[in-house]
Amino acid sequence: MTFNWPDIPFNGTEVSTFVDAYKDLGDAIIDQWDEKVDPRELHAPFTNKDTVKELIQAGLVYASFIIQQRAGVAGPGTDFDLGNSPTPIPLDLGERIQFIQDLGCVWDTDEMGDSWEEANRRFPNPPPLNPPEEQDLDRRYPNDPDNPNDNDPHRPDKPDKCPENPCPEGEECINGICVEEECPDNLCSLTTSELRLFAGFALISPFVGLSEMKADLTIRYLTCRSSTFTESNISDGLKSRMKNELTKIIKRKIRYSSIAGQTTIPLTDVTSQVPSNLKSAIGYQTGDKIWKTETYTPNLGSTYALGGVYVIADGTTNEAKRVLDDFDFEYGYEALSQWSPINQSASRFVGMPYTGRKNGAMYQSGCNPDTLLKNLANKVSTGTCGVGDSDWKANIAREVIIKAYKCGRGTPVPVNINLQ
Amino acid sequence: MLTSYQLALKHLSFNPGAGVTHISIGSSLTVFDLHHFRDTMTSKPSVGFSSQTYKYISSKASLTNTAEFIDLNDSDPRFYIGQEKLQHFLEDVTKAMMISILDGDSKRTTIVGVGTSGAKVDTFLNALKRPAFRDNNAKPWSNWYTSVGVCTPVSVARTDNVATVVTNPAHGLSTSYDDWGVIMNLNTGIATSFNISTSTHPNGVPIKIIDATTFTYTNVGINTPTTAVTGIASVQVGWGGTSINLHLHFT
Repeated sequence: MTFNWPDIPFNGTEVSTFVDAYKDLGDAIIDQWDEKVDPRELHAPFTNKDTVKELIQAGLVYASFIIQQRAGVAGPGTDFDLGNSPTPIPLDLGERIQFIQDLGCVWDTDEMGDSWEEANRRFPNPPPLNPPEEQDLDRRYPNDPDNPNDNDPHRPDKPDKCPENPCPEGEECINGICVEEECPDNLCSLTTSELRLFAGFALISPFVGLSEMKADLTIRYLTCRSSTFTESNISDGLKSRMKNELTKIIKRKIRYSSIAGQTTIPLTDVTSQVPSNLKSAIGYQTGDKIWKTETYTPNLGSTYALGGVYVIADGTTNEAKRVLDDFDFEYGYEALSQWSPINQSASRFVGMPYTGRKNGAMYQSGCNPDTLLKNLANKVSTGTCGVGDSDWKANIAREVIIKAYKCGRGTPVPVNINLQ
Repeated sequence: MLTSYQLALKHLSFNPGAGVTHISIGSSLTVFDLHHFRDTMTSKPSVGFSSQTYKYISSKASLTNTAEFIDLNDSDPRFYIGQEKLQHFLEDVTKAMMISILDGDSKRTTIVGVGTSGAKVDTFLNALKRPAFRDNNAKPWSNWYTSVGVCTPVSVARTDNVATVVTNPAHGLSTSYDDWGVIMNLNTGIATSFNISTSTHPNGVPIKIIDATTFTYTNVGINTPTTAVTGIASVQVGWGGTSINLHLHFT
C-alpha cells in the first residue's frame, strides 16, 4: 500500500519541510497501522486502513496551503482573488467530464443521456429515457415536502434531514443527521442502548433470580428511582438463599474469593463502632451484631449483586437478619453521608433513605470517566483508575454506569432487605 | 474507490447558491469556489452517517463481529456516504495530520515538531478516536481548547443573528490573525442568551474583529438593542478564517 502523492503547486521553505514531514508521517501511519490500531477505538470513518490512506493522501495539498498561508508567503487571502489561488484542480479528461456532468451541465442529447445514466448510476437498473413519471420524480427530488417518498434511499447523500424531520426516539440531530444520542434530554430516562441492554430481562417484581435483581437495581439507578429496595421486591426463595449465604459468611463457612486477588472474604464486626442512633434506625436489637463484609464473588450467588454490604445478624446464632447496602458505584455516583468505620461522623447508615449524591470514590481520587472507559476497554483493572474484571457482562454494565456518569445520570438505590 | 469518492477528495466543496461558488459560462465554463474547514474552531472529528448507511454498516459489523467500518469500494447501493460527508472526513484527517506534525498545539505555527514518528502516529490516532478511548492528556485533547486570554465585554447587541460585543478595556486581539474565537460567559438576564456553551463549542465560536474594542460573532436569537453587561469572554484560537480559504479556479 503506497501513496500516490499529489503535486504541490506552490513552494517555499516552510512548505517543503512540512510536505516532507507529512509524507513521512503518512508512511509511518500505514506502516504502524496493524500494530497500533484497534478499530473499535476509532470513529467509524477511520477504521479502514485503505480509507485513511486515501484521506491522508488527499489532505496534503490543503494542509500545505495552510502552511503556505501561515508562512506569510501568500498572506491572508481575499475571496476570489485569483492571484492568490494556488492551484487549478488537476482533473484528467474522465474526471473533467464527470465533474461537468455532476454540475448538471450538458449540451447535446448524447451527453445528456450519459449524464442522466451516470447521475443515476446507483440505480440497479436505470429505466429508459422516457418522460418522467411520478416514481421518477420521487427519486429525483428527495426531501421534497410535496414528495411522499422523501426518504429516498437512492440519495443517501441527502439523508432525512433533521430537525425538519424529527429524529427517532433515542437519537439526536447533529449537523442535520440523526445519530444516537449520548445523553438523553431527560436524565431520568434510559438511552436507546440501555433499553436494548435491558430488553432481555423480564423485570417483574418480586425477583426470583439474581440477574433480574441486578438489572432492576441498575435501571432504578439510571432512572432516578431512589426509593428503598426491600424484601418485598424479591421472592421468598431468593430471600432465603441470600440469608443462607450471608449466614455462611458470618459463620466463616465461606472463606474464599476469586475476585481481585482476595484470598478470604473480608468480615469485620463493627457493632461497637456504630452509634446508637444509627443502630436504632436500621433495626438493630440488643444482642445483635453488625458485620461488614463483601460479596464480590460469584460463589455467593444471590448476594453477588450487592458487593460490599453490612449485615445485621443474631449475636448468638450468627443467623443473618438484615442486609443493608447502597447500590451505588465508585465509578458512578454514591449517596451522600454513608457511615463506615472510616467515616464515623456520618449521620446516615447505608440502606437508609438519603438526600444528595456525590461523585464516586474513583473520581474523587482524580480519575475521569474517559480514562475509566479506556481502562475498561483495555482491561486495565489495577492501579488507581483500574476498572473491570474478566466478567464481560459485568464490564458492559460498568460501561453503562460510567457513560451515565458522564451525562450526570445516576441515583444510588438504598437496599434494605429484612431476611427474617 | 468509487469515482465519485475520488472526485470528492479533490477539494471540491461546491455549494452553489450559498454565496461562495461562482459559475460563469461564456466561451468556456469557469468555476470559482472556496474551500476551508467546515468547523474552523475544533479538532473534533465528524460523526454520523445517513441513517440508511449507518444501519448498513452496523448490520455488516454485527454479522462479521467487527467494528463498524466503511469501505469506499463497497458498491452496495445501501452504502453511500456521499461526497459532502467524505469531505468532512477528509477535513478530520487533514486536521489530525497537522496536529500531529506541527509543534506545540499546532496553531499558527509552521514549525515541524520534534518527536518520534511513533509518537506522531499516536497523536494522529488519538485525534480520530471515539471519546471513550482518547488520551485526554495527549494532543490534541490536552491543549487544543486551552484559552489564550480573556477580555471584558461591557455591552452586547444582536441584529439578524449577529452579535456585536464591545469590550472595555480594548480586547487586544491582533488583526494580524483571523483565527480568534471566544467563549462568552455573561452573567444575567438577556445577556446570557449571548453565552457560548462549551459542551457544543468547546473551543468557542469564531469572531470577526471590527475595531480595537469591538468584535462580532454569529449568534442566533432575537434582535437585541445595545445592552450593558457584566461577565467575561474567554479568548480562543482556532484554525483560521480567510487565511485558510483555498481559492479554486477551474476552467
